Amino acid sequence: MDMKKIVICTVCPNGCEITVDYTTREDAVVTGYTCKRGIPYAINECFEPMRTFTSSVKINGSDRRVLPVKTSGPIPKARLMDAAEALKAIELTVPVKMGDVIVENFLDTGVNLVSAMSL
Amino acid sequence: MKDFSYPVVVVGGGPAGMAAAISAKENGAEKVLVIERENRLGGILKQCIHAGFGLQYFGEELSGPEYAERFAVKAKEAGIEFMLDTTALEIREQTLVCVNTTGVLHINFGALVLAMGCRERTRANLVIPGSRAAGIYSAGTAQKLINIYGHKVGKEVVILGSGDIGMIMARRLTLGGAKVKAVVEIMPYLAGLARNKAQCLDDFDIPLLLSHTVVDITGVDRVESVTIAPVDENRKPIMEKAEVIDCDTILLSVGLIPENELTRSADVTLSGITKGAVVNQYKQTDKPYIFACGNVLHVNDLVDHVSHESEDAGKYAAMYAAGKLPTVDQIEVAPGEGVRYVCPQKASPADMPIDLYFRTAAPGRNTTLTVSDDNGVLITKKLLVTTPGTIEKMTIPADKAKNISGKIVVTAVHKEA
Amino acid sequence: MNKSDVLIIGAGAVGCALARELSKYNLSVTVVDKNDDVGGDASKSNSGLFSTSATMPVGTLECRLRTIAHSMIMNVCKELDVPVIECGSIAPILYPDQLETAKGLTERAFQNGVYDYEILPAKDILELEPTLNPEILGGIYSPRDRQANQFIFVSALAENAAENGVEFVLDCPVTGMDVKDGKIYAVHTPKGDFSATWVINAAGLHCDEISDMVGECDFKINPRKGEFYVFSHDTPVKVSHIISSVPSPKTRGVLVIPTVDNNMLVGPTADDVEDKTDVKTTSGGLASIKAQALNMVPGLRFEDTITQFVGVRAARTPEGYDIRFSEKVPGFIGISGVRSTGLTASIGIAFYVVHGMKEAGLELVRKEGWKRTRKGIVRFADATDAEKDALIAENPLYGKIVCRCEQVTEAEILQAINRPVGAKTMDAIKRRVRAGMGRCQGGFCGPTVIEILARELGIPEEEVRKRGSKAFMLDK
Repeated sequence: MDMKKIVICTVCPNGCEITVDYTTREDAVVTGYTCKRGIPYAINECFEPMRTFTSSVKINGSDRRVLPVKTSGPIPKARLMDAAEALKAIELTVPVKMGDVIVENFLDTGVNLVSAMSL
Repeated sequence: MKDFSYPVVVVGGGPAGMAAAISAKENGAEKVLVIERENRLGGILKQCIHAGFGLQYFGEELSGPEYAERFAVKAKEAGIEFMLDTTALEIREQTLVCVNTTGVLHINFGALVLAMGCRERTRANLVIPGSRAAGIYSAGTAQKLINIYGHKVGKEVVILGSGDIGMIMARRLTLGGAKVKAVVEIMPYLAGLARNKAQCLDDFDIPLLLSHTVVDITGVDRVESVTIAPVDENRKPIMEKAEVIDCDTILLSVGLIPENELTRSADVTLSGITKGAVVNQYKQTDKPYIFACGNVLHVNDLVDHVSHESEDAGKYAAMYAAGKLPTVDQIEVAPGEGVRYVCPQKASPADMPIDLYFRTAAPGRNTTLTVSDDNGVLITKKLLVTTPGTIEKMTIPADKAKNISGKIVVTAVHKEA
Repeated sequence: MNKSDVLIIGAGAVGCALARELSKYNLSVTVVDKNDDVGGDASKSNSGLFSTSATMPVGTLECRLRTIAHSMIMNVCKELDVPVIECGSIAPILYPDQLETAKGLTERAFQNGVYDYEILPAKDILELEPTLNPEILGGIYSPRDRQANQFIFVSALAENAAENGVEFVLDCPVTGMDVKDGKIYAVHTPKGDFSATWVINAAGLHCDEISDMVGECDFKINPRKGEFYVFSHDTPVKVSHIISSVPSPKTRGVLVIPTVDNNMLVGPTADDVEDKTDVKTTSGGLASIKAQALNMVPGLRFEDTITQFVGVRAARTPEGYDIRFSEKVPGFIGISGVRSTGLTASIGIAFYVVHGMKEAGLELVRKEGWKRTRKGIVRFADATDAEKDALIAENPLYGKIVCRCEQVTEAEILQAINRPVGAKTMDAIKRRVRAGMGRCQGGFCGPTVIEILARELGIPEEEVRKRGSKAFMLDK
């Protein structure tokens, strides 16, 4: 194996330290996980780390001035700053329901930007 | 003065209060009232817009507002009554004195559940020297300004303390266009969860400086710089190695303190370590009609724990109000070697499981956690890694719980530091 | 050009007491101050003591004015609805060498007419104040030393003066003067020029700079920094008397002070500094206060401190009060050397100066309808249930708690902003009604107070300041 990476798993709050020895995605050897969910997470971290994006967008008509939003699934970590930038152009008005889709196929990532609160 | 009467009253409409109220109702309380000082349910979760909640309770990852909304919907369906924009001022025996824009309310209760949450430690608590400039915020206040009000707090930021909110705000500020120059932690280890370091600091190359502290702040109007220095093993700053970082904002994430001023008015005994009430396994204080749960009882790491713990509090409050909660002699539950505190601090033998929540005193690896009483070891558990930032939970099963005697002691022994 | 009969430079205790005194007469009076709020520099950051003249240098102007003021102060506070506690003071004697000093002090107190300033045996002192170090050898008891919230006192004087027609122009530093042939033609400020028949220098810490503008400065002001701790209401060990120290080589004047707001104060240090704006707390200063205070009151719990602050006093070289009606520039009155005693003495200084103006030819005609009294902002937290109900019935915003730590309502915050000489910044609100003064230090109420302040002042929230004109709370 050419590469070795130590990953702090963020799948759950335990924060296990997982070691990945790899050359390619297929031959990766994963050690140090306490549950199986850590394996794909740790391998992904070596090739294309993914993150659920959470932020807020402007909303009118509520005492709360911004509405919490999130992506319906993880997006590439490398696109987090693009995602933050894209929200600046969005302005909504009440009513909004939790789970309402605000942007479909957000930044062509294949996941939606959804409301995380009803206002 | 308006008078009201409820078998169970809950102070606080955050995650703890909502879970306690729902559980009280499900366990037989005919009418349950929640007092909430803000205009919306959810407590501090309303501003915790990041994900990471609910993995244990709901089996899926939610943001704070989503977690809160699920409970709020459930509470409304359960027929819980709410008084929003209403502040509890004082407990006088079995009457809760509250106020809102209609006047002073006297709310009589059979059982009261305290779920007021916690507050952040301030700069003054730590006696951080330097100027009194604008731009010094606790991390949670900055979180509220940004996530509820849509404000910006600053452009160049240094964060003191590696608590979870501080790290989460480091990411939030970075995504909002600010530059977070460092997270400074006086202890040699992280205060918050490792996953937050990974996804909030490492992802954005934000430096974490362990064993460092702030020794000066400059700026007459707004903060202009902060001076940090490494500390020796006695946590005394080594001034020769001090270094100035230019910044316009300082966030403090240096710990949370249960908000127990209302509790004090009822003369409930508080723990000097947790700063919350001393309770038994029913979350019952030494005023038997007062129960406590969530961060007002002890500061939790995960809201999922809070929900479980609060459901217990609500359930036992309902039982107490109905005259069904057993009263028996209580024995002490104490932290032993390697454990900082255990909640509850008291327990009585009972034919049901007893949950113990505790924090270890220092980080370590290959740790053996042991719960024993005067008759010997009750339960043990082995963990690869433990840190004081994580709450550990162990449950004494019912068959053993009914025979506990003497004193219960919880220990944590690390094989490696 | 803003023209008036009297222009007072400085809205600290002396400036505001003078403003109120002058407001009794048919005169146009203007007060200017560089700060965004009244209260000056030293007047708002001190220990709030109204003490007797027991230990003052005998026969000095300072001693005379303070003695006179001390006899009037309770009445003034009653007229202006300023709460005062008559707690008395105790100076414990910890070392044998302090015994002689203490005897000397009682002699001086007698000469100053303070007869009830007595040395008591340890047993009696400990009975009065059981929190003291049980090792004490005795102590000096002085029953008429009092404590008030110094800012409430100064702002009450200002409010009453404003209600009686005095104009306050704040955020308005004096930058220079046109002085020619013994006459002040104009007083320059960024808000335009001012002129007046009488110009009174009540600029405290900055009085040397003002006197210099008229060529009358033959003294120096040395900024002396004093650091303080403020304790939480619920700290378990609280003193019931002002605890001061008998001067000795081992003591440096640290006090432990019970306050009218039930927040104990512990301090100050006394460090000469170069910079008049140096309000930084220091590890060394705070540590030295702690050590000295614990020596007197061993049970103090310093982990219960809710904040620390610095006050800069105006020490004068040469020492002593100096009130001077200029001969070179008739109409210019210089007041300098007013140190911590000035909080009490301000009332005496005001009478003294106005009398001097009369002697110098100013015609004083009593104003018709002069309002003697002022009502303070009614504090929700101190009210009974029935009083609370009545307050809310009259103004429902009394039922809206904004600051949970101090139980401050929106009604009180609105009054703080909208009264005469009202609050324009976060700190100004805190000083008036204590929002943000509690254990969380504004962590919870801060965002709401920003919102209210912006709304009431008609400015964007990004323009809201902590204090002054540039200390912005938020980023634009």
